[in-house]
Amino acid sequence: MKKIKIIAGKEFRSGLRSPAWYLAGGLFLLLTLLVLISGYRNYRQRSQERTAAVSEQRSRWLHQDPKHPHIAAHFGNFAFMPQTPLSFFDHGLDDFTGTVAYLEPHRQNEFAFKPAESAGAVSRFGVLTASMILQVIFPLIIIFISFDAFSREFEQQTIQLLYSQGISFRQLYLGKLVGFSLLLAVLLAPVMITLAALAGTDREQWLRMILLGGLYGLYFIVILALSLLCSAYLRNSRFSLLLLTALWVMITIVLPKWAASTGDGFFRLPTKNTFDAAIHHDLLNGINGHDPSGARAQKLKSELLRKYKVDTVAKLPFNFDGYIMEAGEEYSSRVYDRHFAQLQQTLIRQNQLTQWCGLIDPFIAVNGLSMALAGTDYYSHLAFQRQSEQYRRRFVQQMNHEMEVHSKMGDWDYRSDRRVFAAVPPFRYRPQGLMASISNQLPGMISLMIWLILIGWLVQRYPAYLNQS
Amino acid sequence: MIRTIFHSEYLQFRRSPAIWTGLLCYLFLGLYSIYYGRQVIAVQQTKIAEAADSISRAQIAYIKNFMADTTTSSGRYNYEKASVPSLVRFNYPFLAMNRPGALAPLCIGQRDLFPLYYPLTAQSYYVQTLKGDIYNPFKLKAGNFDLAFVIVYLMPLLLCACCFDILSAELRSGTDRLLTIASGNLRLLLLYRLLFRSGLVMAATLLLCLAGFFSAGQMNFRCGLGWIMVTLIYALVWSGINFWVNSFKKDGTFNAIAVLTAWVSIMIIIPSAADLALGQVSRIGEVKLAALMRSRNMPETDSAMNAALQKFYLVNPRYRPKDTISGRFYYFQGYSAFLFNGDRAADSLTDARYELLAQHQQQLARFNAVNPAYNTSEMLSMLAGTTLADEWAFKSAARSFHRQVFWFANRPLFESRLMKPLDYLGQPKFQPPSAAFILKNWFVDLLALTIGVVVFGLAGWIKLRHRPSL
Repeated sequence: MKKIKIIAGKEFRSGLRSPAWYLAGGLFLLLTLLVLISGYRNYRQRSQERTAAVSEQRSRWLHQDPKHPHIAAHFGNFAFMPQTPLSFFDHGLDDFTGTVAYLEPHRQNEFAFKPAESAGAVSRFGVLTASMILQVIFPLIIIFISFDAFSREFEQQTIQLLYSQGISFRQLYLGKLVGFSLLLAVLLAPVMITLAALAGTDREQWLRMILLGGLYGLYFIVILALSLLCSAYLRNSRFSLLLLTALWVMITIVLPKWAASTGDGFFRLPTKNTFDAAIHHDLLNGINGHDPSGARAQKLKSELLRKYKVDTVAKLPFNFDGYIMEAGEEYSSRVYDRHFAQLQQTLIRQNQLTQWCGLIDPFIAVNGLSMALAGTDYYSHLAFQRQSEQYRRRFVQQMNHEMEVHSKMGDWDYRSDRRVFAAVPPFRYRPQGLMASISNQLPGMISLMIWLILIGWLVQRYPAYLNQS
Repeated sequence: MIRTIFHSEYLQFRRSPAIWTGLLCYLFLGLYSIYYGRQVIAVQQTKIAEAADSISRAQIAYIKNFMADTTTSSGRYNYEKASVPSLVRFNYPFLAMNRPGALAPLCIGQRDLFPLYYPLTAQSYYVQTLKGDIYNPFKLKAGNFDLAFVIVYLMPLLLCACCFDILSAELRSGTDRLLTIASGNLRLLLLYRLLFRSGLVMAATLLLCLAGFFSAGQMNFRCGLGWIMVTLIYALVWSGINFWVNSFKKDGTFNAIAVLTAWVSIMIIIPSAADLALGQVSRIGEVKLAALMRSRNMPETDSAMNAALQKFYLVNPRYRPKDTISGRFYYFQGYSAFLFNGDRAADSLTDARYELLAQHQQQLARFNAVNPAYNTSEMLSMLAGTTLADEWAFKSAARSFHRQVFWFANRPLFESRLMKPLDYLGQPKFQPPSAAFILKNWFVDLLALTIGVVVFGLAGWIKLRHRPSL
C-alpha cells in the first residue's frame, strides 16, 4: 500500500509539473464551465418560453367562443415537451425529438418542430454540451496525459530500476492509476461544483447528479486503465498513442454511427402516410379486418335499443351521436395503441442494436446512461408521448361525454360555455422516476463492469505476457 | 530526387502493416458508406414512388366517377364526389415530392430530418404540413454513415496517421544527422514525402468517390468534378496542417497530439462553439407556428361567412359576385375564403420565421468561414442538393404548389359551377424546386478551403526555411 502511495504521489507531482497538463486542463476547464453556464442559460430561456407557450395555449382553450363540445375538442390542445433540469448538462435527444404535439380528436399526432431542423449542418457536427465534452473530449485528454505512463519507463529504461526496488507490476499499475486519477479529479472538481450549484435543490435531481458523477467517474477510470494498459503492453509511446487514438475514434465516432445506421437498416420505419393509411384501414374495416365501422355502429345501435327498450335512437335518454363519438374514439384508441405499439417496438429494436453495442463500446454505454439520468433519452420522450396521448383521450372523451349528456341528437347548434372548457384540466407531465429512467439501460450498466473485469484480467496476465515476450 | 524519395516511401509503405491496415479499413468503411447511402436513398425513393402511385390511383378513381351511373344512389354519390367542388377540394389528393438528387446517396445531408413528400388537398396548407412525421430521434442524432462522413471525418484522420511523423520519424530512427549533411533541399524532401503519403490517401479517396459515382448511376458530370475537387482540396488542407505541424521539428508524440487537437477542434469544438456563441434561435416563433396546426373552425353564421368573403374578394376581386343573392355554394365559398385568408395570414408568420432562421444560418456560416470541415460538408451537401436551403426550397415549392391545388377545386367553386373532366385534365402538377445551389457561395467556400491549403503550406514552408537542427 505504501509503495502504491509513493508511486501515486510521484505521478501526481510530475503531472502537476507538466505544462501540457496545465494547457489541456485549462482549456478543458474553460470550455466546460463556459458550456455549463451557457447551457444553463439556454435551459432557463427555453423553460420560460415553454411556460409562456403553455399558458398562452391554455388561455386560448379557456377563452374560445362558446361552441359545440365536439367542435371545441377539434379546437384542440397542445403538449409542449418540457426541458428537464439536467438537460443543460446533457441535451440527449432533445434536439431531435419534436417539441410540440397538437392534441385533437380522432388522431394521434407526432411531435413537430425538431430544433435540429433549424440548425442545419452544424447540428450534425454535434452540439457542444458538458456531457459531450466529458464523453468525447475528456477521454482524449486522459489518453494524451497517460499514453506514455509505462512506455516512457521502458524507453528511458527506468522500469528495471522500479522492479529492482521490489515493486510488482500490479503495485506500479495501481500507483499510476491512482496518481493519474488524482490529476483528473483536480480537473473535474470545478466542473462538479458548478454542476451542483446549477442543479438546484431538488432531491431527485441531486440523486441523479450523484449517479452521473459516479457514472462518469467509472467511465474515466475505464479509459485511464485502458490507456495505462496499452502503454504497458506496447512499451512504445508512439504506438501506444496511435492505438489509443484509433480506439478513441472507433468508440466515439465510428461505432455509434455505424450501430445506429445498421439498426435503421435492419428495422425499417414506415412513412407517416403508410402508417396513417394502415390506421385508417383498421378504423374502417376493424382491427381484425372483419368488423367494418358501419357494422360496428349498427351493432351498438341494436344493443342500445334493446337495452333501453326503445325503437329509435331519438328516444334514447342521451344523445346517440355523442355516444357513437365516444365509442368511436374508444375504438380508434385501440387501433392507435396497436399501431403505435408496433411503431415503438420498431424504434426500440433500432436503438437496441446500439445499446447492445454498448457492451463493447463504453462510450455508447455512458452516452445512453447519461441521457437516461438527465431525462433526455428516447424512453423519457416516450413517457411524455404516452402521457400526452392519455391526456388527449381524456379531454376528447370529456367533450364527447358533454355532447352525449347535454345535447340532443342532431343538434349541432348546441353550445358549451367556458365552464365546460375550464373543467378540462391542463396537461401536467409527471417525469419518469429514477428507477424507471435507468431500467432500460441494462447493457450500459453491464458494459462498464465487463470492461473493468477485462482490464483486471489483463493486469493480472501482464507479468506472464512480459515473461513470454 | 522525387523518384528516389517516392521509391523509398513506396518501400516503407510496403513494409508498414499499420498503414496497410489503416488504408484497408478506410476503404472498407468507405465502401460500406456508399452501400449505406445507396440503401437509404433507395428506401426514400421507394417510399416516394409508393406515395406517388397511391395518389395517382386515387386521382384516376376520381375521374372514373364521371362515368358513374347516376340513376343509382351510389353512382350519384360517386359522381358528386368528382363534380361538386366543395367535396373535391378536401378529398382530391395531390403530392409534392422531394426527390433525391443523383449525389444524395453519397451525402444524405439534411434529407433525413424532413418529410420526403406532402400529400396535399385544398385544406389549409399548414394544417397538412406542420404536424410531425415519423423519425427515430436516436438515429437522427447519430447521423448518417455516408461517403461525405467518411471524407469529412475519417479521411483527415488517416492523413494525419500517415503524415504526422514525416520528419520526426528521422529523429526517432537516428537518421536525422544524415539529413542535415545531405545535399538535397530538406523542404522539398519533406514535401515529396508528404505528397506521396497524402497521395496514397487521396488515391484511395478518389477510388471511393468513383465507386460512389458508379453506384449512384446517372449523375451530372460537373457535380462529380466539383465533388472530386472539393475532396482533393480538403485533403490538401489536412496535408498542409500536417506539414505545418512537422515544421516545428518536434518529436512524433508532440506531432500526433498537435494534429489530433487540430482534428478535434475543427470537427467538434469550433462548429458547436459557433452554435453556442451565436445562441440558439428562439422557439417563440415555433409556438406561434404550432397554433397553425389547429383545425380551422369558423362559426357557421352569415356574418362570419360574409366577413371572410369580403376579405377574400379584396385580394381576388374577379370572384366578387355581380349580385348580392347567395348562391348554392355560398357557405362552401365562405369556408374556402376563410381558409384562404387564414393561410395568407400564416404565410407572413412562417416567412418571418424562415427569415430569422436564414439569418441564423448565415451567421453560423460566417463563423465557420475558415473551418475546412464545415465548408467541405456544406459544399458536398450543395452538390448533392441536401442542404437545409434545399429542404426549405422544397417547402417553398410545396407551398406554391398548394396554391394551385387550392384553386383547382376552388376556382369552379367561386365560379359557382360543377367540375368537369376538362378541369381534371388541367390539374396542377408539382414542379420540383430548382436546386438551392448558388455557384458564388460554393466558390467562396472553395476559395476559403484553398486559402487554408496556402496558409498552412506556406506557414510550414517558411518555418522550414533554415536547415533543421534536428
